[in-house]
Amino acid sequence: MLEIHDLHVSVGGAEILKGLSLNVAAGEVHAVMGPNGSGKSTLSYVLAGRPGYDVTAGTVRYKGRDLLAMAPEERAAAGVFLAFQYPVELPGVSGATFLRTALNAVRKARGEKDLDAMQFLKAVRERLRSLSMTEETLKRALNVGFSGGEKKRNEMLQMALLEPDLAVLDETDSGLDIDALKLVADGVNALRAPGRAMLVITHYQRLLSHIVPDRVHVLARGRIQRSGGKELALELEARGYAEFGHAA
Amino acid sequence: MPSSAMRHERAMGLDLTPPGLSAERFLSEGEPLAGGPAWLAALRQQATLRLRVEGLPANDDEGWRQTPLAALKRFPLGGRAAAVATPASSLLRAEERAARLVFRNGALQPAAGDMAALPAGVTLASLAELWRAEPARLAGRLGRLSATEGLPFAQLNLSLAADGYALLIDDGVRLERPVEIVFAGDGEAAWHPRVLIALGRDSTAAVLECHVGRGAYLANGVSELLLAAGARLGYCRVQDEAPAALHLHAGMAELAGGARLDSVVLSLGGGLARNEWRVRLAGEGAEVRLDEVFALRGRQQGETISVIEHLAPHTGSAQVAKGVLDGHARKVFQGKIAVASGAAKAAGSQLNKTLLLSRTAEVASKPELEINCDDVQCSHGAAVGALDEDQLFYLRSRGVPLLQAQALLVDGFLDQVVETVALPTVAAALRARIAAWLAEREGNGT
Ligand SMILES: Nc1ncnc2c1ncn2[C@@H]1O[C@H](COP(=O)(O)OP(=O)(O)OP(=O)(O)O)[C@@H](O)[C@H]1O
Ligand SMILES: [Mg+2]
Repeated sequence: MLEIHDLHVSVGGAEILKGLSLNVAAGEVHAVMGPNGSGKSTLSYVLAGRPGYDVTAGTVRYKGRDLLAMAPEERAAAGVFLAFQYPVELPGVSGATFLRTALNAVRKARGEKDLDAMQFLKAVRERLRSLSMTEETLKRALNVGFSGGEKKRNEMLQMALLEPDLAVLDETDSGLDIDALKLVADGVNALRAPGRAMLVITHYQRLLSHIVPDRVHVLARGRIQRSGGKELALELEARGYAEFGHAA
Repeated sequence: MPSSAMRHERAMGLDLTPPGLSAERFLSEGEPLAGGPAWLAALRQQATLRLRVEGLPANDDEGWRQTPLAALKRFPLGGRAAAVATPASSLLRAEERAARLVFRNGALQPAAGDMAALPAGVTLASLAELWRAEPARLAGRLGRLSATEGLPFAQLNLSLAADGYALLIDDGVRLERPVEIVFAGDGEAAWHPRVLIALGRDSTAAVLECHVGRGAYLANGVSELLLAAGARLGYCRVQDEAPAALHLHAGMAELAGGARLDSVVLSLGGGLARNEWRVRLAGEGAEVRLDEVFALRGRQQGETISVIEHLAPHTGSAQVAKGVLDGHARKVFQGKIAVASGAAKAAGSQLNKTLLLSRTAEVASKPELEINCDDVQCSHGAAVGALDEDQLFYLRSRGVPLLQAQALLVDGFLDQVVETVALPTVAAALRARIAAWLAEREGNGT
């Protein structure tokens, strides 16, 4: 599903990813852990196509396609979704407008018909309920003045609506209270399917006890330093990243 | 100042050619409506004379340095209203408005109007009709503000105006639904529509003017707004002229104590559009809001020039302009707030924010404060920038194509002004027109 090979990425002239390789097969959930500043968000942004991230070498294939050649909106239409570590505020754009525009844009790119207002409302209501969110939040400008946890829930709402094939969750658990963490994990687990894959970036084992990963990778100094099963997360929690040379 | 003294000198024998554009061409080709009361004829004669002496502005005149005046020379000036077949568009549904008047090429189209629902105490009529039938109702009002101001195109309007409308509201009368006025232009002509809105004490009214058209014409309008004590006027102008048209407008207002004017202009049209404001806050506690939303592209130029005079204590003025510029479009702001010595506790603010959608678009902003009183609060701010890259990426990462993402953000930005419009029907009309503008942009793929 996702094949990253020898990826080198520079940001603002500094090389952050230095030959990162990683494969995620369809139906799998992989966790990426690593010290602050090691390049986890950089990896997630490169997968989503954020401008300003210079891929100097390497390849990324998604469903066999050259992901790096696609515009961000094409990637989304093809099923890539990034839950941002720091979700962006959109003053003047209501949550409802945002969601409906996004959903219909993706549907259009996939050759599906637009949802009308009623169909849209129905689809959103279901997801809102499962995330314990109210319709009121949709009337407000997206993420503007939202608490950290509310923003993260918003990301999960978008993911639930867009039903991506490859979801990259960048520290979605940071800032969430215990109940919200459970809701988010439930949402992620509900999305698990043979045709889907997920890359879960986190600092905490706690999330991984809810979303049990198939593989755990340690990203440090711009590369995957070690990979293992779910028990690797427990080991990291106990021992930290000292053995990986810490600094990025 | 471009020294009118110097001009008088020329007129007195040194050089009879005005330095700017000759007004003669307009004056000789225009066809003002004959008749009307003697006082009006005298006012008009005065304006004509003044124009002959002073001419139209030149680029070295203060306030006109940024205006591509040469464009004016190319305009056809025949004043005759041609028969027009295009249907008048309407921004409000019939049940949303109190009445409607339609003008084509400056001439009233009685058949297209709708005056059925006007309550007692409200007069809405063709100005030309009123000055023939009931000139006394206009005396001391029509021309009162524009005659004294040295705005050359307002003089031209006074000299040549053939029609327009008057909205007169009696004391204490509240007109709940807005009056809609459509000015439709077509083809090669010039007209000088005149508007008089006079609100009695503690009365309320709302007006939505819509300026549309096609072809290359000159629409040179003047609106005089007279608000008696405690009166409230909502005045919305949708300036959606044809891309090749030249739109000039001078809005002149005088507010008595406790009166309030809320104006919002949606500026979309015209190759060149110039919007002048002269507002006199004459009575204690009078307040004005002059807002604008603009969206320009291609080689359009838009100009907003305002002079707000705080003449009494506790007067307030607030101006917010937000807009987008695409292509090679230009926007010029000149805003002056003048506070007289007796206007203690006056508060004035001016803010303009522009989003540039292209590297070739430009904005120029020149605020001016003239404060002759210690105890006042005045501020101005101007900001120019591009759309936020992070916001664009966020939208695109959710599958929204670039142009649509831009449209969504621009819409959100402009809506910060639209959402302050008091009447929901008018706000909805503005939103619809903005959405259409953005859709056109998306459709063009630019
Ligand atoms: N625009 C930029 N210019 C220069 N350096 C940058 C830029 N953006 C990010 N970096 C650097 O890239 C490195 C990797 O950042 P990244 O956000 O990917 O780390 P991370 O692993 O996600 O960290 P965290 O766990 O704190 O979220 C950091 O050292 C950061 O300072
Ligand atoms: Mg990060």
